Amino acid sequence: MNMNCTTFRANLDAYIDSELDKKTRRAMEEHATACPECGALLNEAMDVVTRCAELNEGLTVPLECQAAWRRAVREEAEAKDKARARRRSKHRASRNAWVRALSAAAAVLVLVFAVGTQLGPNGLSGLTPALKNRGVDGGYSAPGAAMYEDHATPTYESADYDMMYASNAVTPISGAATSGVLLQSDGAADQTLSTAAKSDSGVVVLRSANRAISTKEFDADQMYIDDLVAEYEAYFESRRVTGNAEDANRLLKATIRVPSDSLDDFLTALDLRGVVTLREESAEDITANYNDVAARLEVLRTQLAPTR
Amino acid sequence: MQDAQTERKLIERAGRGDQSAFEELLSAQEGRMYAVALRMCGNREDAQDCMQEAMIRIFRAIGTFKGQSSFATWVYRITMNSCLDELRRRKARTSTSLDAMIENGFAPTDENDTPERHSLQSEQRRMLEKAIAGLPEDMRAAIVLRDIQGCSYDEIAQVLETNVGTIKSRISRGRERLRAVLSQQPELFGRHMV
Ligand SMILES: [Zn+2]
Repeated sequence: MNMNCTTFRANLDAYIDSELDKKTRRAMEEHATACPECGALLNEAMDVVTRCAELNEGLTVPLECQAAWRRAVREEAEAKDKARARRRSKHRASRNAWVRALSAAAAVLVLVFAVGTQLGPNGLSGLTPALKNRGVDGGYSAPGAAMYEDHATPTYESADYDMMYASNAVTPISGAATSGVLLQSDGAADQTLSTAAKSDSGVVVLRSANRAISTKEFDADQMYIDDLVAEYEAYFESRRVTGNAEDANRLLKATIRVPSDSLDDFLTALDLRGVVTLREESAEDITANYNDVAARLEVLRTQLAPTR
Repeated sequence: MQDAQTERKLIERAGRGDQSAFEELLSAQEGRMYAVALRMCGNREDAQDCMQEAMIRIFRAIGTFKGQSSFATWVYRITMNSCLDELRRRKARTSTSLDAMIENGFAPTDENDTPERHSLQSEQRRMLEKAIAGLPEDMRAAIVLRDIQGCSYDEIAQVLETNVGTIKSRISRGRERLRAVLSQQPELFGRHMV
């Protein structure tokens, strides 16, 4: 290499980090000896790097800090145990509520049928998801969307993955949470997650989170998401994989519903995978919508009573 | 330092919810976590908060760690993310920039070195810490990991979720800025200057 002041400066950091081959290294050293300006620059640069390397000398983690994280982790472990127990009992309660809602829907149908409305065999199955989406079961609610795309050639640098993301309309429910995930592979994954929760003040807030994630390991990360869904007692509202591995354009598009208690944990775990290229979160006050649905449900129940 | 096999066993136990295994496992990481948090945040209080936050995130996610990177790299990544989140929150909370804080005499120093506070060496150290704290976040993160923690380019690229080329350029620009700031203190750093 023809070493001059320009090439010397261009190679300075590589020299400091021992990234140069022997020959270039020697040329650098010769130039530093011959050129006072570059020699001084090298000394200065080495000085800064050496001092940085010495900064941690004598540094200890303060005792207070050591105690604080251990305490926090123990509290977290206890909270996790409690939340698990709570989720388990809520799960049972919501299943019972769902059974009630189902029988309510069936009863309404019978009623309608009795007055002569023509209902096809799809009548019941048509009504059920609608009720469910309105959170009649009180367990899970609003949908999000998720996609997962696979780019087989693992080139991180040229990350022009055409990511797609679709988010569904969300309907809120008390104590429920939803989440969607858009995952794109070999570089990209994308998720949307949302949660609706009713506070003590009666305000229903729907939280949504979107993620776009690139990943080089489509299959592994897809399994990872499946594991997460199982672990957090979430479920797939919808799930579709398009594209193919050869063309490296696979896209997982899914809508995942997550119990509101677990949304933050779920997001945290999700963010650890792949490269997050989009991170959005929002909260929406959907109290009016929620109350409207609740009121209509109450009316249905009242109408139902005489038929029992 | 734990050997690889001990580490693997502890990760497995911690992943199944064994909290004492978790504490043992992370005891070997807390020094570097604190060092990174201290340099990124610039003060002990925020460093402690970030480290605690990172520990909780790691605790929640340990069951999902599948060895796709080294454990230390994974820990760095979570620690760095919780620091960057804290810095973003701080930015949103107050319009006071770190530059302004430094102008007002703020210096991210470790008060443990009180006995030699006035020595030349500790003064140089204080200036360097101040200069690092004044770097833009992306450069600071790269410099902290490379020049203070001694990570490789590849590891830094994994921690910061970007490519090696970007890392090299951040390190290069970061060092240049540090030199520029420190050369304005010739009484402290003048020994090599022309
Ligand atoms: Zn020269």
